[in-house]
Amino acid sequence: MSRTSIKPGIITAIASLTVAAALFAAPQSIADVIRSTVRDVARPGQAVTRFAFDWSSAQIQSIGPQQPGAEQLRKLAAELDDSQLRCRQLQIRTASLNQELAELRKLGVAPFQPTTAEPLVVPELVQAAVLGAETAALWRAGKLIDKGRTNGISESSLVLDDERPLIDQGDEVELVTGQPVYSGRCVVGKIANVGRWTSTVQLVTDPEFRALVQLARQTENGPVFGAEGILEGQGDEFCVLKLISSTEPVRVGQEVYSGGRDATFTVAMYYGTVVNAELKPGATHWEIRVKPAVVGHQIQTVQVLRKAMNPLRVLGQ
Amino acid sequence: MNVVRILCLTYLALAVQTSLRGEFIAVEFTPNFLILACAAAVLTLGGWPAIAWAAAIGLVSDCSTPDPLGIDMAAATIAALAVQTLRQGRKSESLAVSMILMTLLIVTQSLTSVVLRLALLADASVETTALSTKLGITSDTLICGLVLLAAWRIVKRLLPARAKDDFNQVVNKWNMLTN
Repeated sequence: MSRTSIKPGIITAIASLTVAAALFAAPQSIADVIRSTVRDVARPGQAVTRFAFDWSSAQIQSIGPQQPGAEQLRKLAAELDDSQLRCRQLQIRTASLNQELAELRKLGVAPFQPTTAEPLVVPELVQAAVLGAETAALWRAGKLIDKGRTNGISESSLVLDDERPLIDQGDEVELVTGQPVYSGRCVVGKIANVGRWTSTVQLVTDPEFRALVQLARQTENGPVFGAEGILEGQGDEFCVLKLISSTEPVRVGQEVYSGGRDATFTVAMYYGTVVNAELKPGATHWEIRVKPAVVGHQIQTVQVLRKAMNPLRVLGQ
Repeated sequence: MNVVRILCLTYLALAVQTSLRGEFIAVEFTPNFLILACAAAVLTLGGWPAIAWAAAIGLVSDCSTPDPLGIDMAAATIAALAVQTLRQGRKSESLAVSMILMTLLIVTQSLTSVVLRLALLADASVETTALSTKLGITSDTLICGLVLLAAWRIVKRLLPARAKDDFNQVVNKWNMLTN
């Protein structure tokens, strides 16, 4: 600015700074009035700008290759999950039927019609909620049962000292260590420790987790349950399947189901999928990595399988 | 005419700043369009109107943040005064000089705003305490401003060129006829 014009500029600057200082020191009510006035004035412009942006984005998208919107993608993902679940259920049913057929072929059909009787042991599923990280921390710190402690009610130290996921059912509903824990049709893990009010769950990825499992292989007649092996957790996101003989056909993508089923619980529960299968030269067993179907921290409710005596058999006495 | 143009520019900058934050995927941080509007006002006008407009746009910027009013207004006033002092009353300059002045304005305004917030506010909002975020916003605003300035100068140079040629042609023809 030249000298003649510098004076008005400095005066304007001083005036503006004075107004700025006054506004800074002004009570909140005055600031709120000014702020809300500016926001109200800006609202029509914001609406127009947003509309123009969305319209131009839609035009650009319509010119380019058609891509589904977020809502459509969610719908498609949900439909895919449903289809995969139905497909898995049908595969399990087919594999079970194929197994029955194989047994019938081997043993032959009974010459007389058997009379059906009530089984002695029936499976029961106990629904339990998985305590979130915050609730579990409060529980372990004793803050949720603080009042209970003074009345002589306390939780087992085995459960409180265990860092595994907590569920809100325990001894009261006759849970026992080792009972399998499911989420829908998928295996989550086993009950590790049982307390009075809560229990801890050993996830399938836990380094100490072991379970008898069975591979399902595809044949020309549909899926058939194949070799049995031991699934071991590794402490990371994958499990290892051991003791599958090198003579068994194994390929990536095969599904792993619960093994060792008996007549009391014939349903095959899903563990996961084979993601890597290696047979080293001269090895007697496969080295198989399995990706579990359920990630522990994503589940909110689980079902614990317990086997109880059939009440109809008890009443019959 | 300039007043209407700057008013429309400020309104547009406020609307874009508040409704399309986060939509600019080409850059990591959303540029501060109100600072760009302030730069446009200061470089277009001269003298005390430039400082007054800068203060007004600074106040509008204050209204779009949760912090007390007056901070951005003071920062814009200081930056505008600095630039106007350097311009020494010149109304137009070369593209390079304009770019330097724009850089000075944007950097001075952003830094002054951060310093004032840290000095005056005990519990400054998240934007002011995250210095790296503020630096990112300033750099993205500067890049955006320089690109827009260059584009505007090119457009301004191209548009009147034809009108000037036509005018000169008419003047030459008249001279030929009358001489």
